[in-house]
Amino acid sequence: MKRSDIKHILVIGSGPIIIGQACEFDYSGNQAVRALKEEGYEVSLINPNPATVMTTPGLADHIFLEPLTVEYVEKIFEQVGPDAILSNMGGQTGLNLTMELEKKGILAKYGVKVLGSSAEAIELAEDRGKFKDAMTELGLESAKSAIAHNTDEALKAKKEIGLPIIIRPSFTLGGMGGAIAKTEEEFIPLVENALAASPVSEVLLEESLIGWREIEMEVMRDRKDNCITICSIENIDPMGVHTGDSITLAPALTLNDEEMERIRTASFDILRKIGVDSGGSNVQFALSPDHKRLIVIEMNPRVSRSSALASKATGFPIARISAKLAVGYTLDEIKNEITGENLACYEPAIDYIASKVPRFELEKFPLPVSALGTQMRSVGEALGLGRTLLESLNKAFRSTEQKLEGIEELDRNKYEVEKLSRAAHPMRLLALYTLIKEGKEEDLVKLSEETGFDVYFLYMLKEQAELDKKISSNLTEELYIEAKQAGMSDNRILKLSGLERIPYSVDAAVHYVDTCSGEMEPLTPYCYLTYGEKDDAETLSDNSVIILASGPNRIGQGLEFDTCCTLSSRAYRKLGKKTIMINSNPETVSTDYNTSDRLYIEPLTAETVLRIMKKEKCRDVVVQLGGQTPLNMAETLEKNGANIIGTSLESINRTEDRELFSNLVRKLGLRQPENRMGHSQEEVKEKAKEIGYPVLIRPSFVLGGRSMFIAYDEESLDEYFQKMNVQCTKESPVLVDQFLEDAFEYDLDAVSDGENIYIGGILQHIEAAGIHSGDSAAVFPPYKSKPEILEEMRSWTLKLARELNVKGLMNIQFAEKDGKLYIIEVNPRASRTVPFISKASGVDLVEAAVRVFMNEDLHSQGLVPEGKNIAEGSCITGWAIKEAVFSFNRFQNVDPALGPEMRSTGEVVGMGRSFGEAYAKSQAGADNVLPTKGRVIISVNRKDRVTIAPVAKALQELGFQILATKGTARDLFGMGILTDVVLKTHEGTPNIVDYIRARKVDLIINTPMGYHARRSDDSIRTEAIHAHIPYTTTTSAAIAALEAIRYLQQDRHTVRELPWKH
Amino acid sequence: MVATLRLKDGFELNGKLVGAPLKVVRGNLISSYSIPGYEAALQDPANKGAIISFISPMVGSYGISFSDIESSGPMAAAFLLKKLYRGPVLPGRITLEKFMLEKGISALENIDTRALNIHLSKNGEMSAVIFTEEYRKEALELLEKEEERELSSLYENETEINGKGGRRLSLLDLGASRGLVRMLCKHGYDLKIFTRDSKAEDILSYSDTLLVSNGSGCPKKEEKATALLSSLNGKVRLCGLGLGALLLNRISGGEVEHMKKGIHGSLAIRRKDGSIFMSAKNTAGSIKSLPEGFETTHVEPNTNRIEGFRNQDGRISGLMFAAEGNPGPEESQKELFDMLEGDN
Repeated sequence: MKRSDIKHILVIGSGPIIIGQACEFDYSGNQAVRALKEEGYEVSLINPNPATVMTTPGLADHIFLEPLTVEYVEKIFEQVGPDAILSNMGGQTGLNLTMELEKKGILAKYGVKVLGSSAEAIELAEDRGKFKDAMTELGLESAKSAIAHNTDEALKAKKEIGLPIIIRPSFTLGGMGGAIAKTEEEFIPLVENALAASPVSEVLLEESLIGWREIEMEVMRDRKDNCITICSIENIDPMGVHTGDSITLAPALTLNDEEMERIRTASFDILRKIGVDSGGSNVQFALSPDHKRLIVIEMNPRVSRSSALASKATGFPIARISAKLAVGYTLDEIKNEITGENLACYEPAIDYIASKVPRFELEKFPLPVSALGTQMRSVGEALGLGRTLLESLNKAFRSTEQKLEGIEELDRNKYEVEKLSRAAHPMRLLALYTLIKEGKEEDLVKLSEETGFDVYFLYMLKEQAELDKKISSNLTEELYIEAKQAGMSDNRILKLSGLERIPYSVDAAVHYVDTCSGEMEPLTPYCYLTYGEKDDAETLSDNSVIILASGPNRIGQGLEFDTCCTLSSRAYRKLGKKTIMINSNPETVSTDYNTSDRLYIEPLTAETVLRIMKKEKCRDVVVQLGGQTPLNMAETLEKNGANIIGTSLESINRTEDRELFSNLVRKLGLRQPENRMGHSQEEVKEKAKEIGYPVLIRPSFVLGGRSMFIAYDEESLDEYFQKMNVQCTKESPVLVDQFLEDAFEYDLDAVSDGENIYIGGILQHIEAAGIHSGDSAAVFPPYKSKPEILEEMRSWTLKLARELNVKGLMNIQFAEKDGKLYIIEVNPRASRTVPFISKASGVDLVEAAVRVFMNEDLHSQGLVPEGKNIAEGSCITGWAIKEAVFSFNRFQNVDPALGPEMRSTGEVVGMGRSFGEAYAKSQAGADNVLPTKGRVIISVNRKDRVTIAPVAKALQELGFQILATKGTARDLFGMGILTDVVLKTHEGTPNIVDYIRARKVDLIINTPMGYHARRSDDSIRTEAIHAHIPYTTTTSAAIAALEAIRYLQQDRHTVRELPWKH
Repeated sequence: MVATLRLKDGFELNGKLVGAPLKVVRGNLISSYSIPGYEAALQDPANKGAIISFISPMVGSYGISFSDIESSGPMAAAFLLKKLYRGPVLPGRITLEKFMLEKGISALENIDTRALNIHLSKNGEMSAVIFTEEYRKEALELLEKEEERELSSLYENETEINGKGGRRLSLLDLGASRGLVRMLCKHGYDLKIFTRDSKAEDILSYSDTLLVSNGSGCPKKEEKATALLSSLNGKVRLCGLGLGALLLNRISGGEVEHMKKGIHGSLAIRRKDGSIFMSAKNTAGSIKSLPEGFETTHVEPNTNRIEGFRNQDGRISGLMFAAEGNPGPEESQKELFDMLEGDN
């Protein structure tokens, strides 16, 4: 029964998206908040991530977009007085925060109870030593291991355990700082690294189980000790690769009943031992290749990425049920919402296979050959459902949207196939496939021994290779159906067969994910497509609309877009329209069973969408909310009969095509930076000269700011072509744009009905032009700009909206230099900042857009007053600052200096009455802990020194000791500021890096010294990241940091509830 | 080669014939939900004569791994699956395909087992035939005949199996699962396995408790077993599993019935104290009413269907689920021991 001693519960969110902690916790938290509200509890929520669905006004009773730190949580305790917190929904962040609250006595002080996993259970599961002892007591085997707090202890342990050895820091998320040492030389540096990564300076050294089978169990337990398994997950990648980076499938296939029962029973024993008495957990096992030794790896007493995957794979909403268990229900008191019939005490019966393939950012963060290990590196994942393993896996590969049509051979010109086939690399499975298809690996048993892949999976690759060959030789109708049943795309079949069009027509069949394999008539199932079988579903409705979501997370396209899709579904349903969502990302809220009227877990490709359109007899498709993915296929869809909702494709093209866009700007009499194109290096130089340096250059065919470069002179242009290995030819020209150095940048988000515009808000970037808007901190409202410039933005926006007949969302990026406004780009679609602006302004822009889609203009919506054409929102809390969050600490050798290429993985918001308060919170939210006292190191390039001088002076006045590198110190002295001098890395010791490593510095202000000096100040920023010391890489951020420090010195941690206009 | 599955109501599906050659096979069609359990399901005597359709689409993934494989044959008449694994298996195991060829069992591959399960859920379990087109006529004739549920057994003759010298237990084999025998021995029971033809006095002289196994037969057709049990009633503690429990209920005056669709897979069971555990089940028989003075010890929580019972003095008790596990969850084994020890 429901607990009645509790009235008010605080749910802890997981904060910004970082590698290892992504949308899955928005999905879980969102389910939890809803489940608790359903039970009539008052629900508070803390999560500084404005892009989340869970922080949508109206969901929780009190929403705090505040930093996830003890100080702010304590203020929430004071302000709204919850009597319990839910610990297990916010990932590792949630657990760690709960532990900290417990250890600091805050929970006891305010009489707040812990729901979900208790502090004791968290401790027992997370402390590797204690966990291992617990396993031994259960008679379960763990890998040989030892704990070390310094290198001496580590060396001693290594003697016992032997190489290769796994090194894991304690209390980190996603295995951060973990590594595998294979040689003596690697050992000590890796141990030091791990010690630094652990908040308690502790590492676990472990016997290496590389090449073993890896199995996960998703299990639940209630307070009456009822235990159930939701599903088993088998990793196709053998042990040695973080499960987040592994290709996995559910349910496990290669274990027999006895082995499964052994693992299942062990999982329940572990749950009981650790003391998880109400909620879900994930338990991971390793099984020796001969299936004889079973070793417990770890357990997570919380919802996780795997539990989100298991939920989507089976239809069992683990987070929702966990939340209900946390407030006292037992499994047999909760209904299964998918069927609407049976109770939650069941184990899903699934008649399909679910495969997950991770998505990496190999181009932004290149990985060496054997890069994968205990530390997670992938940024997203895709789920494929199919009736067979091949079908689901081909779909999952295709769904990663990495130009793969499925399981395909690798291009030997691009990849070292032999090497990759034996290395822990994202392309390993495809490398093995390539070799098998080429006939170079015929003995699969031997290949299995050499690679650790179960022969079962290698045989599957062989079947695919044989199918490929048959298709290549003669595509019959029977073979075509077989290929479709194996999950192959028409594109792939065409490529293999050499045909121009498929001469056969086979309709897809819609199958339900219903938790019961068709035993009961389901209420809220979701769907996937397969071939050659009977349809489960009829056409949903003649009043439906298809919403294309954004697929797997990647840098530049993630949670923000998914949230827009989810909110649009909600808005449409409110207006009586039936929604059909298509997405392949299992982490998201958009793929929750009750977000849309019908959900398809399918690859976001034109073929799939067209097949679904046919099944659903629905032509209306929304492509403007899911980022680039839906837009990329919009043309094909339109050609094949789709009706693109909102702004027309033609208008979208006018903003995306460089030439058309220039014409548009000219026609409307607006201004954009000078832009040219060069088809040879010589021509590029010529054009650069015409425009005048500095210029921004980039290859025309690359998106997302990759290989972008700012050239200050001809010399650096030469260097660009050499170093970046950029081709410049007639076919692939290089773009040359005027670079507006030190310009202010703005983001404007608006909704247009074609006649009128409602501007949600204008954001001003803190970082100057040249830094990708996704990586910049942005301030709402603009904090240093003239009214006439803002007025100009508004009128330009209206002109553009009318000319392009924009229906729905539009985002414009502006720059201002020397009092002149320039337009950088126009995106007639949802932008990353839409959820942020919506929350900070109190107006849901997505809903406004959906109403426009439904032909309700902005006047009738009441957003633009009659007689006017423009209206604008304002910040409801005074100031709201969005800060980008990076996952640089996942990558050893990536320079965190910001540039035109986007690299942030997530964002947080800081809200406040003053700029300082908002900025301080945005930094705290981003885990960039600004100091209130101590030592600041300043090392800035020459042109920044004048700007930084007043900051240095102010910091001194605030009581900080300032250290500066020679040049900086000299120039500061020239401006009347006396600082101590610190050596640069190459100047001797002790130098900056020594200070950082010894943590004798509390803030670093370091702007890049230009392209030439890039290498030398690299180490400052990377060292700062590893030592977890806050740093700023621009002067404007330093100035903002100063404001924040002033606020922090007042030692207030004001929390502000997000206001909600009903 | 293509072969056809036809249900009694005319529903047909085609599939690819794999394993042993086949002309016509007839059997009661059941849907098995056990995910990795194809190995045990094919050899469970309770499935004797059945055509099993596997819900889990990938079958044969780990081969056949029973160590006592030689002595154990397939009980199912044939089976239906989505996709068969044909690659290598671990040393000491054989592939499912090889097993099928050796034991003369056939299967249809690439069957829409989901459509089939939906059909059975709506229309109830029924008999079916599998045939190749040239034998269609014979197959249809066979399908029209009234179905004879085969009686099953694991052992042909009375057999003694010594566990570790614990207490003695008599087992009446009406088609006991191998997992049950293995599990009882593992837990230290000395077993004597009796058949329908065994004498009451032999049973009485071996142990004071008789466990009556599950099996494939229909309770009304188990005439010999019914008579034997009636003669033992009151003289020995009687415990039943599945079919065994149905028989004990019947001889004590209760009523049994046939469910529209049997349960062949995992399910939740609720104890008297309200706690829940997962178990498995493999029967279409169900208890309609208990004899006077009997109490319910276990129910299925969704439907409140009776899953366990005992009489007042605990001399007769039964469990409708496969408490032995194997295939299926192990956590229900405690229920079996409690019943055998009279702690239920």
